[in-house]
Amino acid sequence: MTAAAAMLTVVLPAVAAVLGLLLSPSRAAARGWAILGSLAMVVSALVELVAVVADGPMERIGFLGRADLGVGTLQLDLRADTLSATVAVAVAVVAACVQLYSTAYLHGEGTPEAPTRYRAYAATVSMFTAAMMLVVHADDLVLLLVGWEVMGICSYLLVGHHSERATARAAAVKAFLVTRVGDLGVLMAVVVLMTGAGTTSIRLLLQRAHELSGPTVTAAAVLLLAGVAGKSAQFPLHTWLPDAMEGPTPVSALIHAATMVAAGVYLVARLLPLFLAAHGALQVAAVMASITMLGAALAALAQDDLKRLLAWSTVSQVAYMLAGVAVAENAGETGAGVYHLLSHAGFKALLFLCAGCVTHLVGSTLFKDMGGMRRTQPALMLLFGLGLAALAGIPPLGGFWSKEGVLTAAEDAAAHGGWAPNMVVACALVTTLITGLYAGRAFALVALGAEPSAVEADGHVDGHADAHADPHVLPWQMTVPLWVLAVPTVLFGLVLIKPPAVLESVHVAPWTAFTGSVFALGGVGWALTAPRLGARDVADAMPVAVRAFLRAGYRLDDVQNALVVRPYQALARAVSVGERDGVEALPRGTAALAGWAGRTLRRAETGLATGYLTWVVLGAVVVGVAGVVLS
Amino acid sequence: MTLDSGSLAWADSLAGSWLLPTLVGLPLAVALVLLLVPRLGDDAATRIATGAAAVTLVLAVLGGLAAAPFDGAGIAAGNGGISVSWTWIEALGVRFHLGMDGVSTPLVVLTALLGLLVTGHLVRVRPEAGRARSLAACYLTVVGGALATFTALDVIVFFLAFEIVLIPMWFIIAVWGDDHQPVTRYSAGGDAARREAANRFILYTAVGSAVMLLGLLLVALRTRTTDLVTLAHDAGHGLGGGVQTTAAVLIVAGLAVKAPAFPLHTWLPPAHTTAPTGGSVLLAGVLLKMGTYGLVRLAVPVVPDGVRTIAPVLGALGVAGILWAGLACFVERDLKRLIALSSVAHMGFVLLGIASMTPRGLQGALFANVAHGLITGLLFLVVGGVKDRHHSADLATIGTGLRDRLPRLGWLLAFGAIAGLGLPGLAGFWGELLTVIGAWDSTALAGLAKPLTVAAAVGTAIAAVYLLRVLRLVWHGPRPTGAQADRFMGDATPHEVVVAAPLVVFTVALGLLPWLLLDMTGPAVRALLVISGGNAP
Repeated sequence: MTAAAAMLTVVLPAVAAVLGLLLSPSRAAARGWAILGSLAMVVSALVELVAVVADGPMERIGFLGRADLGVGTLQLDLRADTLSATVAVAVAVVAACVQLYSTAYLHGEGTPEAPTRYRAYAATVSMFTAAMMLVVHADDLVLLLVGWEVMGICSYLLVGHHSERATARAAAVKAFLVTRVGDLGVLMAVVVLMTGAGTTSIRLLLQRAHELSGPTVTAAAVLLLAGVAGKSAQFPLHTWLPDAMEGPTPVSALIHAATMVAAGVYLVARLLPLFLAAHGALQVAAVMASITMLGAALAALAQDDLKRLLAWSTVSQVAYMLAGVAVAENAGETGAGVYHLLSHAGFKALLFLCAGCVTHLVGSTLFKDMGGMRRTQPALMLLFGLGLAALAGIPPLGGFWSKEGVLTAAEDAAAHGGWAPNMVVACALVTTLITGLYAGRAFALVALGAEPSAVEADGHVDGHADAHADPHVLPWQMTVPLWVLAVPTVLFGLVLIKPPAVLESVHVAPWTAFTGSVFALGGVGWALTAPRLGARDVADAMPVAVRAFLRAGYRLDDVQNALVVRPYQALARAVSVGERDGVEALPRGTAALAGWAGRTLRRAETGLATGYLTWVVLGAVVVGVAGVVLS
Repeated sequence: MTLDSGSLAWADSLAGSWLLPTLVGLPLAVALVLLLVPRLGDDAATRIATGAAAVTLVLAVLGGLAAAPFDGAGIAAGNGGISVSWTWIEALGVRFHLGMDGVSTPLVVLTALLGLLVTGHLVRVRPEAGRARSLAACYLTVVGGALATFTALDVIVFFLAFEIVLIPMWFIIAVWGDDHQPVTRYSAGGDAARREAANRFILYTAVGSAVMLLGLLLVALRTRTTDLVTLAHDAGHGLGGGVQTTAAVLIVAGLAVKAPAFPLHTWLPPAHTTAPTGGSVLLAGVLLKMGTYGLVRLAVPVVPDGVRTIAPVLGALGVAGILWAGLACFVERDLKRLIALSSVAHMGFVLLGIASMTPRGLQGALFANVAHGLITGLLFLVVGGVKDRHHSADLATIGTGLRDRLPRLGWLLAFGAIAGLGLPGLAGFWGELLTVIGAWDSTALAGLAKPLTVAAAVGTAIAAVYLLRVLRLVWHGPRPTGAQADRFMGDATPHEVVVAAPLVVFTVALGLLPWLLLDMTGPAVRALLVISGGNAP
């Protein structure tokens, strides 16, 4: 039961993707495969969860067979336990919501200049989901890498979906290449583990984590962190995520909520014993997470664009999850990070899908085109407000419990000493305040205030808003997913009453919860009262230069361009010249030499019999002399 | 005629007695018929050639089945696989010895498959220069020669087969090649460029062959045998260190031209760029493989200590090729030339894997060999289609928006590019992964093992950079406006899709089920290295 469910959870969306691409003569057929595939996946993920809770984990589910590597074998198996099953359910629910939402969001065929490309879109989303499911279920690091990178290429395709836009093309390439650089770490970790530990089987690695040699395990853990930083958009490899907002908004919901960015945190949680055995690896992760959560929250505060604000908030929130795992002191303590991962999946998907509705209504993602939607769209703003409140960690929403869970875990670890947990606690508390601030700011700018005058809805955002009869009515396909996602957003705290095995380590200390909520409420309150004090936007309080600096993400893109992109381009040009004028000179030189030799030697061929006779006599003399001398 | 198949099953010995000679002889014989019957029209000729290629593929698969299971140690150890051996030149002790084992079977099947695809392609897609009948004959000759190379178990037979392939390939480039090459600083363009490409190809590879022959003769004279089974069994015993090193340098240098190894690769871009679509596919999928196959069959087991001595140099050249070609691809403007250059990078992984002299490295090399044949074959097919429609392979001339303008061709191109950048889950990944794993703890590479591994891993990211650049420039982007937009262009025809489909299917299948290939080559690789005293498992 468990085995079949786990396998189906991975295979069903992949099959839906292939059928959607190859066997769908019409748009309706493509829609059918996508919806059918995601619903079937939800069912099989739920069955898997029930089976795993009832029968216990299964560590070896034969999947793609075993391969002879020359030395040793590679076992391409799956596994199913409560960690994989709970994450799988979250992935499946979010993906199904996204698929349903997209049927309305990518409406019609579009124009020849900006086609909707729904068929390719739906199939790619299905494949993306399948890849995440493979990451979640893989029992071998190499198999995990397969899902990991397939997800990367799908994100490339989806971010660049509106490929007629230059910004989308650039963002797609950036998303793939930045994560690929991180993935070199995973590749090298596979190399190190395969040669040092003799296996990449997750089951065996977890069993033998403490027996492995120190250098091997430390190198592997640190290299894996590079991959985590890339996929989970942690400093310094986070630069791709804000740009990835060029993708259609439902894609952002998918990438930011349950897949892709969650994969990195999942990997650390999955291999936690390995990271615990490696000295310093979790401290590195904690530093990375602390820098990222605070820095990204500040950047979010300064954004002028709703989607970019949400993107930076994702970077910050994923850092929370990573911090929750990084402060673990023994193998059982993955709970806090995973719990935040699950709760974040719900409210962040809700927020992005709400943002998509807002975009759909006002035809823009900029805050300056929004405002006063509390009156025009009360239901939507209620849902949006719930999502933001969960993001800020306002009790008693799901986000409150999971955030306080992370804070409690960090405080517990800090109580046992060590600088890393203390740093995490300090950064997390400040971040809580800033998160409240930007969440409140987003609500103030979108829901409160006056409607902007003369909105110029250009109708080309995401290339979708052209064929609707009435752009002020949201189709049911777009509202139903919001209500579905609102359930976990509000009620996720109830899970703690009877948590599954993976979440058993989560607990929330009352005093921590109190301070945390005071910080969050303080931030939200500050932002919400700002308009009453005269300023529409609380971020206006920042100095202009600072705000511009934060809005541009600390200008790290410029650093990246100066340090990597431009030197690479210069090097490539130099190599190209070297190929043409250097290496190619070899055959050209040989040819020239041969020609010259031919012309020179031909001079001896005078055509006169006397000349040839001279050579013959001369030759005979030389041979004769040589014969006498050498004998 | 004597039969010395080592197998016990009667089916194997029966198969061995007629199957291998037929496999090699059929394409060559049909090619001869096509050349000698001038009244045959192009339509009939290409169909006959396709039929012959289809039968050849069936025979290749049958041969693979007969040679299976590959759990024996392979021909290198004198068992496993099928073989046939006829007396040929008694005075020199040369026997007509053919065989198939775990190392050769994948390449035999790949060659037969690509042979079927290029001849099948010719049925509907005709070259501008006409004379499809002769072109089909050339294709079949290349296929027959390559099959002989991959099954040869005698040094002299190998060498002759190796050379047979050159002549038809020269014709393919010189007669049916593209004569619209642009004028560049170093080339007059047009017809002159075409002839230069063909001549450079033949001169380079002929010189390489001559060097290799010197090495082979050195080994043959010292060991007094030309039989590869015996040579592999002796594994260089009785050859002094100096002789082994000299022979290894000569053989490896000769084969490195064909592989090709940096900096001996400069024949490859013009040849691939100029050759017609089918010619490019065969060059990439078959001819380059003959070089790397030769390294595994002729160099590694025969003079193992010599190869070990020069392994650091070979590995370094392989990695230099990965980085150099990868960087050069980033600024390359001609799509066909870019794919050709990327072959240098891909074959760099194969060379690194061989140089590692570890079982994993060799497994990776053999896998990457086949994967490259599939993926680059597909890319050349697709790029050929793109070039036919735009009358240029220049990235700027092709213009943007292929995914909207020509969706089927566009998606095939995107798939090829994604496979080419070594995406895990597709065939290109496993070869690169196993190569870097093998190189990491290679003793043969000595101090260079770690730096070369890291550099090769960086090479996988470089591949992503240049291939995504291609997609960004031609696959993505708005539909072009102006003259290019007005010209009518049909998307890939069903015929073109059918020709490309097997390559896509096998790329996915090998990507998801790597054991299809790894389990075939594994025992043979262990045998090659254990016998030669390599890093035993």
